[in-house]
Amino acid sequence: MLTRSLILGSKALLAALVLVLVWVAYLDAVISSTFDRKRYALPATVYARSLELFEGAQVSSAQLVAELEGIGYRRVDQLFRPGQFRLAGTQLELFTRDFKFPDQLVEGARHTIKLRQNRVVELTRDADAIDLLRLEPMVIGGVYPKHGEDRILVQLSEVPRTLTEGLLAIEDQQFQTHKGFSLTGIVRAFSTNLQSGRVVAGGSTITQQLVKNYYLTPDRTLIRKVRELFMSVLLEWHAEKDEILEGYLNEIYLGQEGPRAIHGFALGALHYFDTPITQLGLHQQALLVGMVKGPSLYNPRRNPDRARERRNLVLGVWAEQGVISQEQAAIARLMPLDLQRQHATKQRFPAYLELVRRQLRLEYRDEDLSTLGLRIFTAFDPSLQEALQESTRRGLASVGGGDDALESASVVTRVDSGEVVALTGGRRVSQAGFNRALDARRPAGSLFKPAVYLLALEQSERFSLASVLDDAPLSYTLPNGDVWAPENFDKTYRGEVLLYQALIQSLNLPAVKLGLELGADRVKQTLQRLGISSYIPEVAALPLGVGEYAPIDLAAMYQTIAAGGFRTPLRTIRAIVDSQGQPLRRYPLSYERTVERTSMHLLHYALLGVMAEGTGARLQSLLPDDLVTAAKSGTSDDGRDSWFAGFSGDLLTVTWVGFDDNRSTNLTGTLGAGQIWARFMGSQAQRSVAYRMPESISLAWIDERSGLRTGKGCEHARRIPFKAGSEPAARTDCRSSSRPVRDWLDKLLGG
Amino acid sequence: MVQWRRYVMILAASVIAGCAAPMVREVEETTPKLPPSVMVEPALSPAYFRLLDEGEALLESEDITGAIALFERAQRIHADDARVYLAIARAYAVAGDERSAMAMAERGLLYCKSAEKCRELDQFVR
Repeated sequence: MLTRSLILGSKALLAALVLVLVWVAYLDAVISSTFDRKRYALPATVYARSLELFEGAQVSSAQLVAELEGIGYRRVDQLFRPGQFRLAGTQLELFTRDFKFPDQLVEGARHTIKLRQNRVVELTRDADAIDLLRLEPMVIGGVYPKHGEDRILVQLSEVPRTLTEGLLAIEDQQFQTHKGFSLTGIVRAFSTNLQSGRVVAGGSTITQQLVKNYYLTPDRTLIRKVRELFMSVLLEWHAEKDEILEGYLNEIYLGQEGPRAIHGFALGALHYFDTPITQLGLHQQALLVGMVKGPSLYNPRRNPDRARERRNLVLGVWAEQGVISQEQAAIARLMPLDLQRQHATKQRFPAYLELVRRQLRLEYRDEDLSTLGLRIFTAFDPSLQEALQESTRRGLASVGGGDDALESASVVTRVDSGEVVALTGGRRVSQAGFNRALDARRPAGSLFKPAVYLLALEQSERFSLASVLDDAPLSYTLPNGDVWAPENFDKTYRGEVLLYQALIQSLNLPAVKLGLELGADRVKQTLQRLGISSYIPEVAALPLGVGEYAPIDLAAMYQTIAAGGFRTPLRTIRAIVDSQGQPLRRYPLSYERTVERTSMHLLHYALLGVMAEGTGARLQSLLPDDLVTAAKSGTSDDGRDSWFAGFSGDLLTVTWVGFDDNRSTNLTGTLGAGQIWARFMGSQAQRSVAYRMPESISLAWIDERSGLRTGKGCEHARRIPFKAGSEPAARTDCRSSSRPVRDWLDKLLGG
Repeated sequence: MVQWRRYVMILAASVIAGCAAPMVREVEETTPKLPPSVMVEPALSPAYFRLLDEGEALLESEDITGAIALFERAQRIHADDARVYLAIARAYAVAGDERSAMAMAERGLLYCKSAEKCRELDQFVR
């Protein structure tokens, strides 16, 4: 009986042993197959443009300070380390950090920037004169995986010695000698906690903590603890100590920012101090190490006193353990928490980021975007964005009559590159949500008229800027038998008007009649050539903007006009590099000529006229005297949509104002959207429209009432551009007042 | 004597001017301002020229992507100077992308300020 029981017991023991061995073999397989190639889900990081400073660059000291603070530089009295700057009068000194651009690594150094009258007049690097300073770009957001983990991978060799030694002093003093777990560590932690009168050290080794975070759930069960123990031993067997420590430094959870989880010391350093891990001060290192025990409990933003207390406790242990000297600890204890001032630097520009994401999704899977650690360099200009937001706020305040439901959206591009540099999707610029710049679907109003006139001007044998158009009532029978009778905005008729006048004054009837004459299909094709890619209905009312278009669609159209007839894709992204810094993709500048230059030159003349004497003229008071801009206003039926699209030599801005529920704003394009447009362009545009006149353009004097050729100085004379050979043949009776005899006499008489 | 001649000339001028243009009234040239027919060369930054030179050097070593990247940085500094468009057009031509080269050169024509530069750009367009 006893023998039989012993046999059964032995068999059961053997079976249990085999099971344990199988389980351990399984755990070993898990460890050995995953740890070496453990791949973190690395979110994509999205950068703004890099500010490049050069002699003559237009920038104020306030703009520079805002830029530097935006990239996490600290204003100090004396420069000690990278990431600091000092402003002394018109001279700015800064200690730049290293930064790897897609095309070069720029090493940090001490620089000075001298400004005069808001222009850079001198640049130095380590006291030597230089001609160009490339500042690191601002991080404007990321594309995170669903679980929200964000981290920056760091190698052990990049981590300050004091941080690694200090971490082990607090979390695992036996790390270098134990085999995964430490009985003496548990006893020592107990003793340290007893001496401190509170829990300052845990009993789990670094290896155990890493195993728990890598492979296990946070459950506090015995079986999980046993599993953790086995896996820790196995991990120690498979991996080097340095590999385990490096894994821990990258894995540890250090806090939360909304849905984004902050993992690893490298990201923790940037998140809390806006300082690279390599440049952390002792007081900052101690705070991060102290937070390992309870990232929420010791969150320095929410619980600064508790965090400071914990930091100082850690510094004390470091000094006792010989990680740092007592003197260093004493100095570090006196330091403030030193948190970065603007901790919510991420996702501040949700509308622009949404456009970036949409462009990325054309080429990348969501999973790749949130796991491959891509670095995405965009054209986003934080300075222009801030100005656009401010202009939106002021503009809406000036026209909205206190109605908070009045919405707005704007798209700003650089004329010469087609890069989208700023964008607002609504009046609440920092909130994600319905992005009107991309998703609002609205009639374009008169913003389509230039396409009709351009189509006409391309036919120089039939039309010129001086062609006479008919501004008279129109009744048009629609395919369904209804009669459509469009009117001008002011409900008056002018009879005969010249083509350029009809556009400058945004008259509806001449545009509709011209559209009918040319054909809605051809107007549609012209709109497509200009860049409208959404659905365009082929109807008689097309010149009045019928259909549904987003501000970004109209920005694409006006970009082609502003660029002189060259279509270029509206780009946000300049380059993408992988997590190792290797370039993956560049988005180079590209043009496609879709409108011939002379026709576009004639159209520009009329659009310049809109601002000089047409519907946009009343906005001139918001623009500098010497800034020449070209634009077109647009208003849909009953003032439901107020549009303004226009450009300087350097910037194009398209702005929409309206209500989401489509009720009337009672605003014209100029009185609504124009107020935002002009405030923004008036403060930010640096260059007038000044393209070289094509050689095939000639200037001729015409009578602006009849469109006939006339003489300089004659009544109603106006000099306008023509495609050479298309000038009107018929002339008025008046001859030029410029006569050789009188000129000779004037000269002779000193006149 | 001189004063007498002056009066005669004023009288003669009045008669000639009056006969020649009975309905003329001096008016100011109307708006909008036209882009200038003679473009003024602005002061350009040394950084711009350095980036162009470095881009040319990369182009010579057949690093076309690198060259274009540098030219684009130069373009962000002075987007209204024709040289940079000529440089990018050349880079595209070296890469065998004649269409892009032509479009880039044609765009540069909007900014060329000297007959020589316009001619060079024109060569790509034709």
